[in-house]
Amino acid sequence: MKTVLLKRKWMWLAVCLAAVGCERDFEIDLNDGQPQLIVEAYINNEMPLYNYVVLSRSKDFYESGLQNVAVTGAMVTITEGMRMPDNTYQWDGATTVQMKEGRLQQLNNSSLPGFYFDQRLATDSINALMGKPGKSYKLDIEADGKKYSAITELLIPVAIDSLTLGNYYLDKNEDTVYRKARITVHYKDPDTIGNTQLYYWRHWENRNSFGWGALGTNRYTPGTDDLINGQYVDLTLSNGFVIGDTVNYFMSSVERKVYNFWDSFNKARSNGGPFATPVSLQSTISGENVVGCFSGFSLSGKTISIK
Amino acid sequence: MRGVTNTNYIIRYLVLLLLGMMTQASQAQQHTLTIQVVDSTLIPVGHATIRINKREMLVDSSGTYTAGFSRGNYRIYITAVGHNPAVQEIFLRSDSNLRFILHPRESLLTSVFVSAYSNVRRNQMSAQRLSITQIKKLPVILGEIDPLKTITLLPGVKNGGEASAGLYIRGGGPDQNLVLLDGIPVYNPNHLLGFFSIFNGDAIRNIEVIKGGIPAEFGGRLSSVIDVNSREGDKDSFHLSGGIGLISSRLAVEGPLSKGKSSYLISARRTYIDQVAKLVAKDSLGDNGYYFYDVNAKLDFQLNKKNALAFTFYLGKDDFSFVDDDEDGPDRRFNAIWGNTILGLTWKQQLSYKLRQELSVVRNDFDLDSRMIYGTTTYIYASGLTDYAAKNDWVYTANRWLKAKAGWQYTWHNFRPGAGSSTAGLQDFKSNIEDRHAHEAAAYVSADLNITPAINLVAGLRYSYFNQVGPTSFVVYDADGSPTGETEQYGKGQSIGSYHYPEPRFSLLYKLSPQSSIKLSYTRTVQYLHLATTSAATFPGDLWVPSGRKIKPAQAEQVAAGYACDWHDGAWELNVEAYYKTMSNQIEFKPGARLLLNQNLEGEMVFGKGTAYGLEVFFQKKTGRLTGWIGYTLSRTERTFPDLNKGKTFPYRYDRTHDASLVLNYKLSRKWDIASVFVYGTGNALTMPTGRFAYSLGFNRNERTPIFTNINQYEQVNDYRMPAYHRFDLAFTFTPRPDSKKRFKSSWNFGVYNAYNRYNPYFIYIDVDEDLQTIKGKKVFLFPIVPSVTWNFKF
Repeated sequence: MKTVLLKRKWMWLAVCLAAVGCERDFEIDLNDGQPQLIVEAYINNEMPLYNYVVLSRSKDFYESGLQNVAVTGAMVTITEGMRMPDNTYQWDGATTVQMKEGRLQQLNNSSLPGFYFDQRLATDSINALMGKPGKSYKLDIEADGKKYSAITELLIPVAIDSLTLGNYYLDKNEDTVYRKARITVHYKDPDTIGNTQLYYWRHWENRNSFGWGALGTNRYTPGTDDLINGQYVDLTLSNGFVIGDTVNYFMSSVERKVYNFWDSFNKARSNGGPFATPVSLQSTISGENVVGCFSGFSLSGKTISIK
Repeated sequence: MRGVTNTNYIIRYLVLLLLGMMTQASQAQQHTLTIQVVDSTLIPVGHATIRINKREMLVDSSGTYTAGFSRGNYRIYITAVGHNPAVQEIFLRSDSNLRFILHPRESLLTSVFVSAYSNVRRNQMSAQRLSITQIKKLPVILGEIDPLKTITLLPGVKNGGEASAGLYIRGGGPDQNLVLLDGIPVYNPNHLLGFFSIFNGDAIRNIEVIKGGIPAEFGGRLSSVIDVNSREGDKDSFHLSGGIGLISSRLAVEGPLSKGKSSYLISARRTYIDQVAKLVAKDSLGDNGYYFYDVNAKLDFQLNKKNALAFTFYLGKDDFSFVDDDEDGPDRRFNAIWGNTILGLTWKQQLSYKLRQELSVVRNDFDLDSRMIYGTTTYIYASGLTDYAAKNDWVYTANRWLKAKAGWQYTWHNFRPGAGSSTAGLQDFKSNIEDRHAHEAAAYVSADLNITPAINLVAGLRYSYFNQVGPTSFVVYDADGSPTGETEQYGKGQSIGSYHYPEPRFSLLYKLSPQSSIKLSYTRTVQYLHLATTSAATFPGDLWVPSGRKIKPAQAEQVAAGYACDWHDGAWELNVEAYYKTMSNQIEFKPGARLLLNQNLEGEMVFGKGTAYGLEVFFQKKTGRLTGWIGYTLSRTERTFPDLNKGKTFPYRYDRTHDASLVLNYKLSRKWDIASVFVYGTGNALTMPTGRFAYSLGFNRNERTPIFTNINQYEQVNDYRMPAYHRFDLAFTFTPRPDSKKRFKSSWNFGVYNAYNRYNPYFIYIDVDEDLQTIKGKKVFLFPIVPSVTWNFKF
């Protein structure tokens, strides 16, 4: 986000100063914290395969391995409902979908421990779980005898008018040179203030990958309309796209709490250096010793050929 | 308010007392005797001891003593540590002015070191003064003389670590120090993220830190007063002085405007770190650059016997630019210019031998302009503040038992919290954070009473007032940090938040013997401005935020008790003090808070309280071949915030259990001086991760490799300790011709910073490499052993 960049610019100053300084390995003894259940859950209105829940466990800092420690065999359900004008919810028990671990043909029948899907994706993918704009969704988890829950709402998506190309540049690496273009997204921000968006894309680098974590995204683009409410927006992201590629571009409208979670995630991931403050994620999951977000993504997508 | 009623009684009592004393004093026919104490360069010697017949008094910080005496014979005997005494007998028959020139004992004995005054007889506890001559002899990084760095060698005054700007005095934050340049508050006293202070050694006379028992004339900050006095130009002859160092050079000119009556002093310096760095590493630095310059000017006019004018000017600018327009990826450009402009005019008037006053008008400005380009994204950001202030202080010396002070201050604050915009290609994001305005005012009275020859009481009351007023508007946010779409409008002069508090101050001195005393003090302070900063360094983008609707003024109460003694004619001195301090309405930011261009800054703040207590020992030797001091502090500083650390008390980041410094200065010969500094401090308290996890998962279907981001998990605030900080520095001063009668004089200063090459961490971090699958602790240190050389000249 903006912060990170603005903070970083001062860091460059420090980095220049630190040119005289050096770095050494240094043993840092850490205390171990309480293990946490890590919840990564998504519901969206476009891609049924991208409605899934991942459960894992946190580990001690110096424990070996960086990958997630899957939590398997949990009871995971998602129920559709409505938020009432008095901010209470009415859940429709008939819509409850049980999410289960299992191999899917769409994912090369790979084993993905800790990933929970609607198993209709394997047999009856047309009727598999799909988010509907305007509806709310409740996630319930029972893992190792403890219960957790979260609610997210799928907003009415803000439509992308068009995507245009511009700001061409040459991206030189050690042995490759790419000519790249940047994408500008054009849309009308709704008149009501408080709209927030996240941006994702699929391009040649991640076309064969799966999961929200594998899609392209921009950590630095302002995603709120705090400063541009109601305007016609022409937003250019700094990311470059290789000429000749085709890009599927998604603008995802999200609730503020979901935006706040991903904002804290972006701050937490870039955390380090002399001026960093420790950032914890703004969890939306209720329960004991749990961190994570149930993200309702209302997608509006467009495809563009990079020329 | 209940406090007000209580203070009403105190005021009434004080007024009665004052009236009683004044009537007593005005009886006999008296003549004014004004004594000025200066050293051989005509620079005032503050706090010298004057004995007139059998009465013993202290001159004030400007080296002046004024009192009324009846016609008769007087023997005046003046002593100051490190100087030869002066004595004169006079017959007083009319108002008289006397100037005493004290010759430093250096010419006889050896080096003069520490301040001339005695802490035993002065009823101002928790205070230390350093003169620029002392400061100049000590080793400093890269040879840059820096009064603000040197005071961190005193007990109770801590820095934040290597190359840290902030001063943490008795557990207070870096924004809680009232840094004054000739009585004018300085908002950002640092250059270059705090590597250097704005105070140029050529322009400064002395620096005083008051950590407790703060007199009633000072206010607006919770923890301390750092009073920097600039030097007056020589009223007799023209001088040019300067220095050439590794990273900066200085030049000062001074002389009389009208001989004996008025003088000027203009000093300037500029760094050339960028140029030096380019010589070393041209390729890696490219077009990046950094420099700062500053100019100090002081004009003094003695209009007549009773009136004097002083004009102070400071202008400093830092300029930093960073350019990365290589073709490997998006352009990155950044340029920022920031600095202070300070203007002050003071009129000093001696109305009678009993009464004098000072009236100052001040304009103070801090500005930041920055621009940054990252690919298609551009940020333009400017912030700052401007103060217009007036201040008036009166001192009435009724008789030898009573000295009364009274005065008022008024400041009109104008804050520019962030005019700025960013663009993402075609899209503009304009932030509409409007300027904020505030009135700040205070009035005070204080009485300095010699109750018995052994007991002195200074009782003061300050009453301060703050009112943030329109015109301005606030964008209203809900608890989630989402704007509600509403804006609160305030008309011109409409009050947004108004506060006023009494601030009683007491200090008591009890002389056990001529060589020893005990002191007690109580101080209550209120601070209406807060510095919004999230990091350990001070950034030019840090904002001063006024108290208002949600942000309340911070308040502190401190009690301190101390013992002071000296022996061998004041050559040795010992000070021991203990303090206990509580602070309310302290501000911290939520982790990851965004400060720049944030319309909802208040929404990112959390409020809590703090406690600090400690014991300070200061032992110094002031004269002789060997001079110096040992300072030691044992202390604890804690914070309690309902919204941080689950409401549990946690140590302040700069909580330092042990803090010690050893400063030694030895005169090897008439040509060579050697000075050394050793410092030791417990490491800073940090929040470190207690665990980690992978998030934002994905999966590469072809290579069957996982995609993820590692996120740290945090629990307790500040429960990790950095390793202890310690360092030894050495400096040699070489004066080639100490006895030369020629006008031109020069000296060389050779320094070694961090002589045993300790890698004190600037910061530590844990490097999680997702590709190599490794986790490693790292420390980054800035200064290994650093030699320096500076050539100073004067003629």
